[in-house]
Amino acid sequence: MIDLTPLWLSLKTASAATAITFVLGVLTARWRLRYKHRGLDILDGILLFPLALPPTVIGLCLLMIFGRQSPIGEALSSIGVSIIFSWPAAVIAATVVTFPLMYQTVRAAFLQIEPNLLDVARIFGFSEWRIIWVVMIPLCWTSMAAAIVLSFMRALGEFGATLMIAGNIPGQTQTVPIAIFFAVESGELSQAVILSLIIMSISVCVVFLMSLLSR
Amino acid sequence: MITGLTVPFLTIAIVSCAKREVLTISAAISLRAPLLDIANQFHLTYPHTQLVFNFGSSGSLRHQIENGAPVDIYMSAASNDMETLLNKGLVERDSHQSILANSIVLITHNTNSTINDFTDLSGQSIDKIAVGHFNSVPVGRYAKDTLRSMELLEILRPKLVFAKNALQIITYVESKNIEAGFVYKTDALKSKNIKIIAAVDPSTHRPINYYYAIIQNSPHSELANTFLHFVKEDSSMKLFQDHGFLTEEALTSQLTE
Repeated sequence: MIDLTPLWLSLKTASAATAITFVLGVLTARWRLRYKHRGLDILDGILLFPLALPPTVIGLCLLMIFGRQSPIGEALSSIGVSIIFSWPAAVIAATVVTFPLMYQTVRAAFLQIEPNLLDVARIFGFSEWRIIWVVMIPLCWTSMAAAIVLSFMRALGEFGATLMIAGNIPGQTQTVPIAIFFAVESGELSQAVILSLIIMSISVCVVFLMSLLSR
Repeated sequence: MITGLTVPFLTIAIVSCAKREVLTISAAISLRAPLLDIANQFHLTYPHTQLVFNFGSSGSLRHQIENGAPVDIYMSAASNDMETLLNKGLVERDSHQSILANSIVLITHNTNSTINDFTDLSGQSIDKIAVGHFNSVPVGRYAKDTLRSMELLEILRPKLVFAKNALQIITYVESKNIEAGFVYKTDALKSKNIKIIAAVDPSTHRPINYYYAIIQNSPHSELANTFLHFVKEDSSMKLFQDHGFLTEEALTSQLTE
């Protein structure tokens, strides 16, 4: 009998990470739209780091940021919260690696919006906050859907950074990619194949669902 | 257009091949430091050769060889991975040999003074213990043997975090995110921020031997033999010892003492 806990963990992690990265990506892209300063291009480059760096390095950085030796880690542990080797750590890792995909796609989409449309909304007295959710996102929904699919898939496949900061603890932080990796390494190929097939069918389902929604 | 691009590249490749014979060695990552030292020495004696190392976990390296990776020598940290290749006829049986041994130690951070012995592992001061993944990482397999024979396995199981290699265990302990871990003595010696609390009794786990063999039908088997002879020489064995490894010779003298 195959253990399906990694699957639930993965779905939970990827969904949470996609939701967080969506909000962060949209807000950052909107903020970035307003400021066209050249120097901010450097910031765009920095925001792409998680895509370019090996995931293990990102995991190591996160370990340094949230670990017991850092000020953040110390502050959290003084209120009884330990991030490392917990499920939130997996969500953080997935959010960080998916952020560049979300941000870049959303920003490109926002740049395509006719600025006059936003001014019209302003004339009608819409708040900037409301314009984002009621005007901008619906206007480029197809790109949004693409950004969500890309981020969800990347989160689902996330391995390196997650293994580093969330660890490989069966039932707690062992997501599907981690389970597959250790199954392959242990020579338990049938387990790896089944989990891979499940991931593949989820991918197909998600793409199908999103194409229905963006029609 | 494509041929225009590839021709210069091919020429470069051919020219460099003609100049040096290249030997590709897939070796367990724990052997990295001494092997690089030995490679430097080897290069001084045989300047017209080039050693290319592919370091990784013994299991991953075995998978690559099983799938036809162009490798000349396999150096494994686990007997079962080598056995698999021997049984499949993928390595030359005659060249198969064990030359080195390692040992397992319990480590903690330099500044940690709450852990002094194995018995402390079950205490409250220890939240997590890092070990190699039991089924796929040799250093984890040996730790499992030990924990089982000390009857600590079931007690400690909720505290275990399974790493994919020894380096990950050391990173966790160095960064104080995990209080204790089981690693090879050779890896523990490399880090200045960790200390060895206790050596694991070798009788509690299966022997930790390193094995090497030449890959079947290697086009460079002659050079591979030369290299393996070089590895067995005293000067190379001295380099292994410097990095904390036990050589077969030292092992036999230990047993007779």
